[in-house]
Amino acid sequence: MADPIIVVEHLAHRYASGFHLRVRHLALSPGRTYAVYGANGSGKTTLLNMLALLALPQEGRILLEGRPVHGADPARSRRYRRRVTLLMQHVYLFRSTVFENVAAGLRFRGMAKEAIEERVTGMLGKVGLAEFAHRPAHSLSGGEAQRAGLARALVTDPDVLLLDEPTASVDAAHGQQIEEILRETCRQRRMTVVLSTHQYEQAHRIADEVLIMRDGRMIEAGPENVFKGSIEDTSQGAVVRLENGVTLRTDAAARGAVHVAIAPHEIRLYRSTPSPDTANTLQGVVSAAAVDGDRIRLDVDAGLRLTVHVARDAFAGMDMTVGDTVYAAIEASSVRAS
Amino acid sequence: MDYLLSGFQEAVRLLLTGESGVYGIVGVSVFVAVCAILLASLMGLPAGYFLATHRFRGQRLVTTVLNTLLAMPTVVIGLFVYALISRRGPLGFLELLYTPKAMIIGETILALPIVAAFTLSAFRAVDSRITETALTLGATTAQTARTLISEARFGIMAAVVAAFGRVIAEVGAAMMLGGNIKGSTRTMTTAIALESSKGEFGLAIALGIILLLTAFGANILFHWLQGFDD
Repeated sequence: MADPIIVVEHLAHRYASGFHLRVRHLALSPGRTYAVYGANGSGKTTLLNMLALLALPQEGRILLEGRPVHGADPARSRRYRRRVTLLMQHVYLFRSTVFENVAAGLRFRGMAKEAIEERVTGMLGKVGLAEFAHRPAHSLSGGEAQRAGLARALVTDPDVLLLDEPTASVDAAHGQQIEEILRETCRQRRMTVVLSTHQYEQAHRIADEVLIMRDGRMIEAGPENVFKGSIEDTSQGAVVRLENGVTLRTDAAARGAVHVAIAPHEIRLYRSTPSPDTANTLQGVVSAAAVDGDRIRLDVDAGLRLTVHVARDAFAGMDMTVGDTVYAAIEASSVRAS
Repeated sequence: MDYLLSGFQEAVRLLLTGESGVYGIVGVSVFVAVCAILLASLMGLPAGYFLATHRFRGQRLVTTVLNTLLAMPTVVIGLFVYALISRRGPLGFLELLYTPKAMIIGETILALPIVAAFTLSAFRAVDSRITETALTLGATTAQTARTLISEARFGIMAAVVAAFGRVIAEVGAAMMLGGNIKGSTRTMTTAIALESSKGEFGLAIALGIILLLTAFGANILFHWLQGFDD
């Protein structure tokens, strides 16, 4: 893999409220999409603000292409921000037209008028706001404003795009549109994208890698249940053939080489063979179990290493310990291509 | 009541013909007010911006003093400047007393806290995300400041208009520092005071109408500008 574009080392910040953000190590590779997944208040926004140099950490440092970033130095932080930009959860649009808003970053860079005109017009078309160009920005709806904000960030052609809950405050249709724009842009440009989300589904749908935050800490378990494979059509419907030989039935629309992700809380564990209706049943052995807040994390060796989350209450009635043979049931809809 | 009615008729005649130097008096008023507002804006706008965007020791005290100065009686400003520039005063040698310059000094002192305090609140009222948004888009420090000013523009204009409305309608400092000299320092307010006391209601009412319209106009403009911040 290419050298990371951004590296975070021993980042720590303690707030007066008692909240303590700690990220020991984080490396972001060029061209990859990362989802920072966590509940509200887990520190996602704080981390993104620090990556955007809007907040300076008390401890630790950020490196851009191996060189430390000096967030307190206006000229240096500006050079960094011209390559690493942030779209806030609640986007602020300037009191001017939609066109002028999207042009703002290019004007700050002193770009020629004709070039601005061309790029902004093109970008507005991409996000479906072409006919809104000369309307006042404040007349846009929430979803349109979010797309205008996205266009304003994308038009500057950043190397790293940080998005704080890009779809949390818009309706489902707009959310889907934003995801599509992101996918499209990432394909065309080798842009590194870091987006925060509290939707587990979205994290796995969009990202190459899911980073999990809880109580200000990045849980360093790495991505859970993400496997490489290829999807093909068979007589039994779409099947993903994983690298280690396991095949799983899937509802995913994608074909060919993919990453598939299975949400740990969507896997059901049984002591005996579950109903034959289940699309996928894998036999395995519980190799580890750990209490993780109000749930139990189980590792199951089933030809592939599965991480399974079980609610603590439910686990109590399951009579399951390390070393037990179990059956993991996975619905076809839970096997998602990412 | 006849004297008022005939005064009103006379006023209409004066406004139409421009006799008795009505528009000369209006001209002095506007000239003094515009000069004072320009000077006050030159100092008050940066001061308001600085107070809104910087954190320093004693900031609360400065803000409190500024807000207190909003209520400064104009005759006290007149007295203060008079003491400085009268012949016996430390700046007496400049021979400023009873000149338009003296009035401009007084009105500038009156306008400055208004411009600064209203500018401060205009910057405080704008969204806290403006600066951050500009920074994430790669703005320099100067570009960030320009963006902030542009976003607060209606509030800033309202500050200037409010100060203008106060200055043009004020009589205390204008009388004490200008001396109400015909053709030189006679403003609408000082002329109205003089003409009324002489019983010459025609000119007083004529000027009163213009002053009223100016003050109303400034007030309407002020509220219209403030409306953009909602």
